[in-house]
Amino acid sequence: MELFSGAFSGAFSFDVISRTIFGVFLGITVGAIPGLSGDMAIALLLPFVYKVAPNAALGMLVGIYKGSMFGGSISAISFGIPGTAAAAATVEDGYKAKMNGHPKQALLTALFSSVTGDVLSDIVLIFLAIPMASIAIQFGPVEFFALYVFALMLISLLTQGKMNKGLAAAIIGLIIGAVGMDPMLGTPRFNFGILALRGGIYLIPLLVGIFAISELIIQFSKDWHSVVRKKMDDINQQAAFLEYDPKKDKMSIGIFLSTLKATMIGAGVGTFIGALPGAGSSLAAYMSYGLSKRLSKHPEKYGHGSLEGIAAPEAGNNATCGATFIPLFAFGIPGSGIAAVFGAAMIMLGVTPGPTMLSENRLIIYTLFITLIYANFINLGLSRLLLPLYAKISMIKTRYLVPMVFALALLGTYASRNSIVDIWVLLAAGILGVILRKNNFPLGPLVLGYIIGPRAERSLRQALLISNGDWLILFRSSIAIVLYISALVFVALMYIFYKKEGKKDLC
Amino acid sequence: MSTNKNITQDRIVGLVLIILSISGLLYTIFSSSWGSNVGMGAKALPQIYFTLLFLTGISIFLKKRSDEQQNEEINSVIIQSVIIFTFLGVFYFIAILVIGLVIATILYSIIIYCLLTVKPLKNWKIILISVSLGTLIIWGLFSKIIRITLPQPLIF
Repeated sequence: MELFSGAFSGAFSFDVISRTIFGVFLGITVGAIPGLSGDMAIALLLPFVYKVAPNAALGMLVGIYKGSMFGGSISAISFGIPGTAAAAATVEDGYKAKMNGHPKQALLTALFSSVTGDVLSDIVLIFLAIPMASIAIQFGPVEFFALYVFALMLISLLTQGKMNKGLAAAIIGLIIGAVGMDPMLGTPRFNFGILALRGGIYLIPLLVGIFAISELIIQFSKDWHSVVRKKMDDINQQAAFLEYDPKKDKMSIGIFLSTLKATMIGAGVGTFIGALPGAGSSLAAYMSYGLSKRLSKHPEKYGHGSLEGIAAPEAGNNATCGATFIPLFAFGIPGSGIAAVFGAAMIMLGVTPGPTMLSENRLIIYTLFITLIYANFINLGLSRLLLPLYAKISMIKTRYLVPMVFALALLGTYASRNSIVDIWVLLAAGILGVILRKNNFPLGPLVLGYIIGPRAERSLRQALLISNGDWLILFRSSIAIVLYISALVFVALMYIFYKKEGKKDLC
Repeated sequence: MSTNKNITQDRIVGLVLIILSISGLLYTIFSSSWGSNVGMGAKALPQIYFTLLFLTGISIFLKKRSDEQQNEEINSVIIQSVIIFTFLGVFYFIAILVIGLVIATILYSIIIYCLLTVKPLKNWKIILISVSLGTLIIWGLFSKIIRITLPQPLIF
C-alpha cells in the first residue's frame, strides 16, 4: 500500500508532470518535422538525464517517445510526408482523406486511435513485465545466452525484406561491442594501441552519432525543404480548387466508434509485434493496416482516404510504445533501438534494466508505470489543443534545424564525459550511419548487437566454464531449447507472411 | 522491380563486407597482444563474428534480385556533402575550444545557412535574427542551465 501511495505521489509530483508535458510537446514537435524522430530526440537528451531526478527524467523521455509516435502522422496526413518511419503506413489513407476534404477527421482519428493503442499496450506491459521478470530471475548463463541469441535472430530477421542486411548490421554491432576489453579476462582488444579505446566505445556518442548525426548529414545533403515547399505549393493550388466544407469535416463519437474495430486490431497487432525484439513500429503499422483491411467490411475503401486505414496503422505503431519495454524490463534486452536508448538512460539513472530491476527499484518502476498511462492523456490533450500549430512547425527549414541540433548533439556528447575521443566517435558513428542507410542497412540491429554482444559473450563463457568447455551445455536447458525453437518458428511465420503479402526478397 | 543499380550496389557492399571480415579475421589470428587463451579466450567470439560477417557478405554479394527502394533523401547523399558536413563539424568543435561557444555557434550557423540557401544575402536580417536567437538558446542551455565545463576560450 505504501509502495502504491509513494508511486502515485511521485508520479503526480509537479516535477514529473511538468517534465512529462514538456517531453510530450517536444516529442510531437520532433515527430512532426520530417527528418527528426523520437529516438533521435531521446538520444540527444541522454547526456542531460544526469541533471534531472530519475522519475522526472523517465517521465520526460516517455513523453518524447509517445509524442513522437503520434507526431509523425501530422505531416503524413497534412503533406503526404511521414514525419517518422512508423507513420509511413498512415500516408496511404491519411493524405487521401485530407485531399478528400476531411483533414480534421483524419488527424483526430489518428490521435484517438494512437492514444487507445498506446494505453492498451501500457496496460499489457504493466501486467506482463512483473511475471516475466520473476521467470527471468531463475535464468542462468545458459538461458541468458539462448535469450540473447533469440533476440539477435529476431532483431536481424524481422527487418522488412532485408534479412541478410539486418544480420550484417547486428554483426557489425557485435564487433563494435567487442572493442575495449574482454569481459572475462580484461584483455584489451581492438584498441589498436589507443589508450582511450581500452574502455570500449561509449554508448552515448555511438547512439547520438548513429541516429542523430547520420540524419543531419542526410538532411544537409538534400535541401528537402525545397521539395516540401514545392509540395506545399501544389497542395495550396489544389486546395484552392477544392471546396472545403468545415461542416462536413467534423469529428464525432459515431465516427470514432466506426473506426474502433480497426483501432483494436492495430492495438493487438502492435502490442504483440512491439514485444518482439527487433520488430519495430513500422512493421506493426503495416501489419495492422494489412490485417484491418482483410477484416474490414469495406476493404475497397482502403487506399482512398478510409478512416479505418488511418486508425489501424496509428493504433499499431503507438501500441508498440509500451510493449517494446517488456523484454527490456523483464530480461534487460532492449527490443528496439528506442528501447536501447531508454535502457541507456535508465542505467545512467542508476536503474539497471533486467529481472532484478523490478525488485530493487520498485518505487521508480511503479512510478514509471503510472507515468506511462497518464502521459497518453497528456498527449491527447496537448495534441488536440495544438494540432494547427504543429502543422506549421513541421515546415521549419533545415537550415535552421541543422546548426541547432548539431550543436546540441556535439555539446551534449562532450558534456557526458568531457572526452574529445567521444567527439571523434560521434562523427565516425554518424558517417557509419549514413553509409549503412545509403546501402539499406537497418540501424536498430547494429545498436542492439552492440548492447547485447558483451552480455552474450559473458553468458556463453560462464556457461562453458561451468561445463569445463562442453558446448552441449547450451542445449541441456529446456528453456534454452524453447527459445531456439521459438526463434526458428517466428522466422518461418514471418517468411510465410511476407510471401503471402507479396513482399519479396526476404533473403 | 529489380534494378541493375541496386544489384551492383549490393555487390559492392557484399565485397566490402567480405574484405573487412577477412581482414578482421586475419588480425585476430595474428594479433599476439590479446593475452593467453584461458578457457574460450578473448579471440574466439570476435573470430566467430568475422566468420558470420563473411557469410552474410557472400549472401549479399550473390543476391540475384534487389527490390529495395531508396527514398529521394537517401539518394541525395553524396560523398562531397558528407565530407563538407564532417569538416564543418570538426571546425565547429575546434572553434568552440579555441574562440568560444558563442562566436563558434554564430559562425557555424551562418555557414550552414549560406550553404543551404540559394541567395543567402537576400534575407540577411532573417539570418541575423535566427542565428542570434539560436546561439542565445544554445549558450543559455549549455553555459547557464546545464553548466558544462568547456576549456577556457579566447573570447566567450
